[in-house]
Amino acid sequence: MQRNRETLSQLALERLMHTACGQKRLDDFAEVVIFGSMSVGLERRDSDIDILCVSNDDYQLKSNGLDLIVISSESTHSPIWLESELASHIAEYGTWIKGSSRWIDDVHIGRRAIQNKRRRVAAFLKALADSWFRLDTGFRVKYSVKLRRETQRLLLLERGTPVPATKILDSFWDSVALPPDEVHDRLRGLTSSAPSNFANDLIGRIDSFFHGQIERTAIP
Amino acid sequence: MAVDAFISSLTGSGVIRKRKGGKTPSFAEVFERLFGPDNEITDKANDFEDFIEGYFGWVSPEDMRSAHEAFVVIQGIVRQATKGVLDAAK
Repeated sequence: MQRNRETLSQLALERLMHTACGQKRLDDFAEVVIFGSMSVGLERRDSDIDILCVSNDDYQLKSNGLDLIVISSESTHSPIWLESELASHIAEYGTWIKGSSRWIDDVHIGRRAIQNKRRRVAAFLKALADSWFRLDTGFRVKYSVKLRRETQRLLLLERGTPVPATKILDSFWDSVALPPDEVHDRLRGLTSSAPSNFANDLIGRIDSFFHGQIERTAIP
Repeated sequence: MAVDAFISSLTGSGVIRKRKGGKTPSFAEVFERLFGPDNEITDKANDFEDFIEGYFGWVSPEDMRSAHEAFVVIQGIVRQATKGVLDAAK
């Protein structure tokens, strides 16, 4: 559901005002930015709204229907922030509903963000290889989805492309990246020393997802 | 993942039933079914889930500490609850 900037802004402020910090500190926020699925009109009915506020502190808050990140103006100029996956996502897809960005021109995907993602994918694979066949089928589905998305994010970061909302990874991968073979090939490489029954089952699930996506796209 | 393996083990061995529709119960639901909704362990399991939920793929050190504290309480209650059974089995 694509919302216009005004209704998006109203919704964000309503959700913020339901939090203690929002009531007390809305005026202190120099910037309020909506990002994630809602910013690009790809939210589900039950989607949370993701908001970044620039203020004097650094903290995070998760409450009903709201995922809030508050960072200080100072932090917005730090390399850790400017080179992060999240900053590049917000710079590309965020909708500013208060203030204007003083930092997006300095954002670029840094080596640290890529290394963190590589470590995360590797850690996932290592832990999954040990417990895969002890996990209920539902959990195997859950982790194959997580791992596919994280691999997609890694491939994008390595190419210097900001990571879009998850819905785009799930439904419009061909619009932002190379064919699904790239995910398959990367996972094959990463699981080359893992037990083959684990690697085949995991990658088979991910291949089936992409195969289904191609079939869905092909339906007139 | 360890929590999911734990839940898989309970559902796989029939100790805990899956929800209608075949979904596995949450960590807190496992304790709710075993100890009741008002037991401290169920609250702690809920807290634990909240703490490890993370945020954009990242769990803060404070949340990790809090999750560990909640887990230690859960462990203590489980040990206490199973003590009589284990003693009897000796």
